Amino acid sequence: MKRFVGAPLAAVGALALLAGCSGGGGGSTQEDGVTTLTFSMWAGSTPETEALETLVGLVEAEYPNIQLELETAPFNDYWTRLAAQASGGTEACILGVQSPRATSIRELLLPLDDRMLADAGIDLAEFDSAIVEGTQVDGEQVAVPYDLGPLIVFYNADAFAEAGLDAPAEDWTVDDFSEAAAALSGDGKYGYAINPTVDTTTAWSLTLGGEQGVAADGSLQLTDPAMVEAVAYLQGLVADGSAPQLPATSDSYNALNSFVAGDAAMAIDGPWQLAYVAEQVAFEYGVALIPAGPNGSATPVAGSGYGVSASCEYPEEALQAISVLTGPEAQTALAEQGRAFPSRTAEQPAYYQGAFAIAEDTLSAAGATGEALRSTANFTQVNTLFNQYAVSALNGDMTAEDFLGTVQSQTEAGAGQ
Amino acid sequence: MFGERTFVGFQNFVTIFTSDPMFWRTVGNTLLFVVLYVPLNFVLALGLALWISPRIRGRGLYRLLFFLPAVTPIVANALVWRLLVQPNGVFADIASWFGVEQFNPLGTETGAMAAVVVMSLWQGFGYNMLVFSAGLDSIPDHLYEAASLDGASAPRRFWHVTLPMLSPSLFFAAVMTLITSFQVFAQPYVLTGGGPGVATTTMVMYLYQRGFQLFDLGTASAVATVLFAIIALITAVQFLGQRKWVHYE
Repeated sequence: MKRFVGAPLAAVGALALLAGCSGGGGGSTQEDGVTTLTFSMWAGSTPETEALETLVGLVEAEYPNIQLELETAPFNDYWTRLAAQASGGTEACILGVQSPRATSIRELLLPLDDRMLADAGIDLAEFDSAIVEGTQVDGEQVAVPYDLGPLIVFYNADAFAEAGLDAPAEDWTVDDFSEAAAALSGDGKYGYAINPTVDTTTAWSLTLGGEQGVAADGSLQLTDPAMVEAVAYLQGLVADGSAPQLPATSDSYNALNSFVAGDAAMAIDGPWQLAYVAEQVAFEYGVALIPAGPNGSATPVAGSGYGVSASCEYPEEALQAISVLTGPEAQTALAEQGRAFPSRTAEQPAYYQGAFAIAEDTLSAAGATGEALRSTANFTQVNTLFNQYAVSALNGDMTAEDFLGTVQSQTEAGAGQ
Repeated sequence: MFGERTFVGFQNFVTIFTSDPMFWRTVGNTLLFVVLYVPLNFVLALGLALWISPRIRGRGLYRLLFFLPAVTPIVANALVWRLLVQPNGVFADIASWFGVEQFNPLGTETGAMAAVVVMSLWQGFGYNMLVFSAGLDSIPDHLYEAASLDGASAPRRFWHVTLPMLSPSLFFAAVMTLITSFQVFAQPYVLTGGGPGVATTTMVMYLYQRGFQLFDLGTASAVATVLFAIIALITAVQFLGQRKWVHYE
């Protein structure tokens, strides 16, 4: 649905504790047996807002005693506004939660135990396990996921054919990728546009070295050999001219737009971009798995869900609403529009309609090799600094070790504040 | 941001002055920007204001043209500049005619700061140019006539008549330009995202990141207070200095 990179997130200070702000959970009320709940979610365009309004309609049809007041903001602004509302104790009852950011806002969210989930009729066994895990913090479920996305390779099938290359096979390797990228470069075109983010780099570190930049215990380990190897690999692609030099910008769409414009033959992103790519491209395109390294292919998985805010006065009703928002009907509706790859395994086939049929094999295979993208409480800062320094590193002005060490030490120093 | 608030006295200031790895770097970046931007802005604005002095035809049109960038939204300006200077943008095409293969100023630390300064100049000189232009118009002609009769050459007339008579406008422009240049935010935010590394992260951008991305309002407030103190100090010094060089006649 939305890219899971690079923007606001809470650096939770040393004083971790309850959201001690009083206040009415953002204007939720109960009158004449009807509970009105505020529902806050990101939406960057009219179609996205309309899709959410459709979901609200589903909730109100299922539970006539619940009314939802939807408030939306573009993705980055959503997190900024959530912080502002949280500081005043006016956050909404139902909150959109993105898996890499779950850790940073855990204090705002009500942990959902098995009994609560069962009472609302939510069975997590029906969901993809990677994203169920992704919406947990320290083993506590803080949100119910509605979509997920493994990172995949988007490729320009016309460019591949023109260069006399076979389309990427399901078992293609990193070496195949490098050769293709080199063959597709020249005349101002490039084989692969790099998105200099933690998550894209994690795709490479997982496949090359089997490790992420965040350890299983949630500590930051950017200097892990697997990450160094991943960065060095990407540096090599830029140095060979297989990937373009990076400009420093705050635009996280650079790589994808360069692919869409036909300037780069490959890009790595999530299935939530398929609708956008299908709309924009003027060539035949396809998607492939992240190429396999020495230990086979692996890909980081991230996704989003809905949580109940800790300050919400009507958690039961909120969870009932969430059971519909993440229910089969809602997920099928979003899937058919290509807006979200469903987190419910039974609903995933609905996604492969029309334009998205090309993604079926890849996404089912990626689902099998997916690993939840881990994050830290100060992941926004990690992301921000990573993006900024990655430009210097990939352009060859910094070694991989220096770059990762700098981001690691600066975020550690910043987290202590 | 979340949870309890505790009063920590001056702890936030101690933190940014001693253990914050970024703060001094951002102060340095801001000062570098000010040192580059303010003099260049003055030279450009004064030069163009003198050039479109009364003798030139189509003066109103030039005034309008030079002032246009100053009234267009800065974010739109920065976006257009980003498109111009990115690796496959217009400037890169022009550079390739001269045999420059890898044109990517936003990919190097010095290039990125230069791009921010140049873009800010383009955006900012029009305002001061208008102020200087109005100031020049109000200098009475008889002063120049008297100076000419006394045998003063053009440079001498500029130095001894124009500059002193323009000093109130210069003073106003200096105070305003310094204040706004210390507060630079939109240009690096849009153009470079503060990168590469932290080469273009200015103080206001840093306080935005700390306060509204990392929700660390304590540190952000401390940065803001320090910035306020710097601006207040510099403005106070300027007001003290004005007695020496500003002539209100």
